[in-house]
Amino acid sequence: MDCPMKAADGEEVILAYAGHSLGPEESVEFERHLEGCAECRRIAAAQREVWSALDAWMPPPVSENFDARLFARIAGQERWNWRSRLVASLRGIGFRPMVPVAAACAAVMGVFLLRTPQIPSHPAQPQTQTIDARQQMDVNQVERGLDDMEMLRQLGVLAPAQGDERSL
Amino acid sequence: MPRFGFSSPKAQPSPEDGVSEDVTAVASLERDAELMLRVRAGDQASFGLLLEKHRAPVIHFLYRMVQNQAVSEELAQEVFFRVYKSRESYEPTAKFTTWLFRIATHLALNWIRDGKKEKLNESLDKETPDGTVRQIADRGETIEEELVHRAKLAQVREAIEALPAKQRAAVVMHKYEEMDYSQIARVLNCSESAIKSLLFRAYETLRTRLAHLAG
Repeated sequence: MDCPMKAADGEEVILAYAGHSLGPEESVEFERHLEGCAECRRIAAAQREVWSALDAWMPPPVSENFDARLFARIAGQERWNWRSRLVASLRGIGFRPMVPVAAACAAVMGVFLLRTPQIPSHPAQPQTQTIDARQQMDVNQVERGLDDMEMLRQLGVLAPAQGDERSL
Repeated sequence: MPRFGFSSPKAQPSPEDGVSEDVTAVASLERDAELMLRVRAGDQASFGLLLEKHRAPVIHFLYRMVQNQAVSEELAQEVFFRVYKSRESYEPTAKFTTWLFRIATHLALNWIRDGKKEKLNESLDKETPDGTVRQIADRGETIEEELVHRAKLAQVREAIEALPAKQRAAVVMHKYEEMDYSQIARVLNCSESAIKSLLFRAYETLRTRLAHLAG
């Protein structure tokens, strides 16, 4: 095996070997090379020490309220989103579409106001006036009728009335 | 996927083990996409499942990037909040974890760039937030061994912190999240060859800084 350190991917082989991820055949071949290459032996040993040191570095445990804080933040954002969407939608719509809506509402209200019956202030008087007017109309019709009949008699269309001296 | 972690040496994996693990990994990734699609449809319980699965990895990744627990949790909150907020436009064009860690990396890199990190050099005399004196963890070690252990940890943290931000992100994803080169490249939005170059330089730096810890 040629010295990995002289190859382009040489260090990758050493890293893989030091991390026990080199294939079995390649590992055997590399170990044969290590027997005769001090440089690769030194690097492989040093890399193992680095990983051993890194393994010892353990992070602290996660806080117990981590999830609760995250969900609280998400819930807060959801509420803000709902409000901001509502405000944005109203701004985006503007007042133009509201004019016909307002006009329609005003028209409906106007219809209701106009159709509401007026409460009369003196309810008895209009009924008496109506009765008098009807009676007057009846008397006028009778007089007209009598006048028409007189005219027709004079013309000889109708027979004279009983008790009429001119017919004698 | 390459496995690292010399502290827990594994036996040489058999071809069957590799295949079954790959199948499991693929199923898990498809499950993530399926859950996220349900979240898109309004299923909040699925968001809870995703949170349960990815909460710790994201927070731990961010902690190793910013080295501050409070900041790492705040940034993680922002990560999952953004995931939820963008649920309606989610499309499973990439792995869910790639998307998730892309958001996390972006936030971490911004935070580092803005220089808002606070030095939190843990010392044995420093009081804990609730006012009690920090207790030495009982690992069955003597006080001297505990001090040595803490000193090593401090040097590891300093070595990681001294890395340029992108190299730091690549190392953390490669070592702790066990991501392969292609996925790290997608997270950092660069080529796979660029990621390999980035990682190799980072590890070379770490070997130089931490070599004296051997033994």
